[in-house]
Amino acid sequence: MTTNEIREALVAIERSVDVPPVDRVAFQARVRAARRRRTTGRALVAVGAAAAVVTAGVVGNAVVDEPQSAPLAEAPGEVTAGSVPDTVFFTVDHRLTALDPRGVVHDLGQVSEGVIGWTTDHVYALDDESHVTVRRADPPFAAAASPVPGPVQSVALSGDGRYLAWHDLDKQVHRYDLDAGREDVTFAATADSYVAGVSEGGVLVASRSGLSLRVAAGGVAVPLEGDSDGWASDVAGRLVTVDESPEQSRLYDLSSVSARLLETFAGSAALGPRAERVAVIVPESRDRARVEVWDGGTLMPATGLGDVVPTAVRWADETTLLVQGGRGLYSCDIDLRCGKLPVDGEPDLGE
Amino acid sequence: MTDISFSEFMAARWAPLYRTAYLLTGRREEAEDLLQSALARTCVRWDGIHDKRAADAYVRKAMLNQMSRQWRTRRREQPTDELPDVGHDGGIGLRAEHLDLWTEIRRLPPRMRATLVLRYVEDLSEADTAAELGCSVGSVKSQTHHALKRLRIALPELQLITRELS
Repeated sequence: MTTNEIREALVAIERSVDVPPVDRVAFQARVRAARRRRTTGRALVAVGAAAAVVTAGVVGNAVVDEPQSAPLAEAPGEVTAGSVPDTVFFTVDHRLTALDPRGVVHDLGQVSEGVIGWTTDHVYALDDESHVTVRRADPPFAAAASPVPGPVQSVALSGDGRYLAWHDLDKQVHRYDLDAGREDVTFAATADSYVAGVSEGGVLVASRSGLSLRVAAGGVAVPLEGDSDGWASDVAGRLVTVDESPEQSRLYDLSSVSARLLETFAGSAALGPRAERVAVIVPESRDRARVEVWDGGTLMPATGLGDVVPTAVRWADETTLLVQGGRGLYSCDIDLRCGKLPVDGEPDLGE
Repeated sequence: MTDISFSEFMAARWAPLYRTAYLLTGRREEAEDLLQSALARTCVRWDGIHDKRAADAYVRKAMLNQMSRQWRTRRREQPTDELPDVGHDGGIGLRAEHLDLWTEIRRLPPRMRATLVLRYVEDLSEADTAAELGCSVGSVKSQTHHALKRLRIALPELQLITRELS
């Protein structure tokens, strides 16, 4: 196949597609909404400009009779510096990157599609040919042997770092016990299957026929509601989270023969490594969202993210949550106090 | 085109922009939704667009910005397996291999698909594609590389199935 063939195909499709008439009623509604958003934006700018004028007046007059406002040090948009207790991994511009607890950023010298996960000893990532690479998790991040022999279609590391599971190009799903150093589960899957997660309970596989936690041909089915395809799912132990839409996800217990619904969240969810906490990105409007963490049945909001719009979260461990948003990376401690990590560029958690 | 009204612009450019939106999204309903949103943004800013000849590029950029927000919000950018919307039922000059290739292109993650559309349909350079997508040139190269690799892996199987069915 050549790029010319792709060009010809795209142009041919472009020319052949039927064009619907303009839905003018829907379009007018969108124009009204766009005008409202634009007006709101302008109002905020005007308030900011007024505040700037007031500040300039105060600075320009040594003696002022007017009462002064309180300083704005605790403005909602302010974000403090964050840190991480252990080295964390992500990509910046498709390069595998680490941030250590001293705040030093390391370019590991590897082009990467994304970070699969890491343990205290190793970091697992995909290179630009969809091979699983393994490196030591501390400087100089030396390369180590990978248990995966060839390119993969999808891959996941368990939250406890014990299992690695992948779907190879021959449509076989494998689970590898990293502690024992051997493959302990293998089964055939369909070409469209996707390994969404892995735990000691099995491999969480999404496909056209549904989502299930499998150890062989059989498995426990996980309900898929709405338009969910099961791709954005997590498993830890026998608990599974499923994103049904950006506005809803569900937590299931798969301890018995059928999935039992435990909780419904108003956003997309990320299950903690020990299945004790769930981080949720809760959309508030088209351009705003917040992070909450479910812990023993209670939802607690993350603080210190200012005006950052979170787009992805990942648990570094059960007590440290990483948040990606606004072209930056943030860490939140066990009390959900978050701070910005000293990473330049546009870090990508790969979640 | 310098004094054209927004209504005239929309009437003249709806069809070609819809076709671009369709290539970007791979789905008719999403394409219409995406284009309507981008045109609504363009409409409220129309007076601020001094060179109306650049309005097409403005709308395209608005579509890409919106797609970019969506694929970041979705957290995991994954290929689509379910293709309930064929989009078209073929047409004059549309060869079977074009449809096969399009089926696989539609399965690509949205950013990869957008990269192919900008590079091979809009004929943008790698640098211009990077500017449109708000990413680096290296990212464009990587996305293109992976898109081609996925298509090459997918198509031998598809051709085999086609032969078996025929």
